[in-house]
Amino acid sequence: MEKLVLDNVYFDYGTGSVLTGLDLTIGTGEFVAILGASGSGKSTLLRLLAGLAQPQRGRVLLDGKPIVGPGLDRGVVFQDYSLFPWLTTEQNITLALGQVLGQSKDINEVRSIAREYLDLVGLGGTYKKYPGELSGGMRQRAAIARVFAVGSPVLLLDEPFGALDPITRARLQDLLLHLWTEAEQRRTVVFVTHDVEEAILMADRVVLLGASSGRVKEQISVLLPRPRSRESLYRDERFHNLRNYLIDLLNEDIIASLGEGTWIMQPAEGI
Amino acid sequence: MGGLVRNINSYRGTLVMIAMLLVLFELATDIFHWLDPILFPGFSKIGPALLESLPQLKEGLISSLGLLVPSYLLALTTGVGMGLVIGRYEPLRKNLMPIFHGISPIPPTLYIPYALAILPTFWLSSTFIIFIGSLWPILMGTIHGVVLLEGRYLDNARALELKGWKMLTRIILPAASPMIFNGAGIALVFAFILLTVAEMFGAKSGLGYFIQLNADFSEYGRVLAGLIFMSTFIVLVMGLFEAIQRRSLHWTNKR
Repeated sequence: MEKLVLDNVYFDYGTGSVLTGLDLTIGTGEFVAILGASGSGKSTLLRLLAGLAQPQRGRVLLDGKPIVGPGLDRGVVFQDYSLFPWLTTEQNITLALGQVLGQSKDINEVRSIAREYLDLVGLGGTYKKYPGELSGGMRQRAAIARVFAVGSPVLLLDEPFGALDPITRARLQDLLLHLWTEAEQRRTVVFVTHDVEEAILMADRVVLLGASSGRVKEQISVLLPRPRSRESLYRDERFHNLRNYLIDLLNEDIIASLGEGTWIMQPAEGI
Repeated sequence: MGGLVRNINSYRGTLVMIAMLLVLFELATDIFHWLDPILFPGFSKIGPALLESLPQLKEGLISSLGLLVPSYLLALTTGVGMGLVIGRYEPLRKNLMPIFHGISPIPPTLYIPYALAILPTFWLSSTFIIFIGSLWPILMGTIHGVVLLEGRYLDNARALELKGWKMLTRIILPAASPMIFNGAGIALVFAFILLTVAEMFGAKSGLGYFIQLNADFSEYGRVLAGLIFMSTFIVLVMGLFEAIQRRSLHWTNKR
């Protein structure tokens, strides 16, 4: 079933086109990774799905209806600013929960739901901590707790682990996959990343955006069985083939936009 | 108690400088008589003057606070309230800003004759002058705070469908609060200046009145005692303000 549809979407920020006639369909319960070099429009695509931006042309649909603005039916996690720094982790989640549950719910009940989700992501002792008192990884854990607590059927994640060190990153990838797999009703996930391995590890399908074309360059279903472990993936030839194929495609674009052969001869900047 | 000792320790340099100034002043007055003895009495005169005027100074302080606190609080609520609305609503802001830029630099003391003529009591006119003077920095600070609000907070709030009162109180107000505090601090200094000015015209009580009255009778020992009393009080108030500010903005220096 089609959950999200981008149909012939055009978008520009006034400084040049970012998306030029992009088409993409995402099925219900599908985990899709959007891969692309910086400037390829992958964050823009996410903003369109989130309703934080509107396309100049084309249609963006959720359950067949045009997206006209942001909504709680789509939970968003940004790279490093999903939490409000003046609220504690618990308050960040109760604020979001209050939006879904309405004012009728008892505050203690809302609080206990928030704590339940904080416990779930391993932030048991941090209910009263402010985001500034937490590490980047813990902040992203709290952001994930929030998005799962709200229970939106669609999750939009914009390079959520992009600012983390490799080990924290791996832990959070596992956490997200775990929460996504365990849920009774699988959520539709759009996961923006520039990390090829992360995309393959997490997604059912990898969508590669062209570096400057403003369209989908390639789409590949990841047929590796779940649950996937890093160890088994690294031993699996299919993983390496897929990785190399995607890296080649990414490099192709990067080399094309740099103008291969000329850059080596150019004097280094700033010397 | 430990906190107090730590605080005093961290301001050791300030205390040394104040002590040096006091010693220099004492040398210039009581000891070597470098300065005019009537205008600049030494501590031999200021000290007793301060002690004997303490009851009057306390009374004056209470009367001054009766002017300062209501006018400042009114300016704070009006300034923040108006600033949030004007900052959020662009057409309003666009049309009002040129007017604000035209009016805000006018020294509030210029309104004194009008205030005295139009408003029925001295208390009301002084309150009005202090209110106007402290309103501008708070209003402008709030508007700037709302305008310069980081887009990522707004995106985040919009994604959570926050609107109306909740959006204003839970997101916009805290996000703008660093700039609001900045304006409120400037406004507090203005309020003290205007308080003294207002009390020097036609008041019958208050610290400004005490200083003006004694200056009229050339009682400069008491004038200086009044000044010392007043600045000590202002330092304490500013310290309290900064403590509130630090507490409310604890989240800013960590992110």
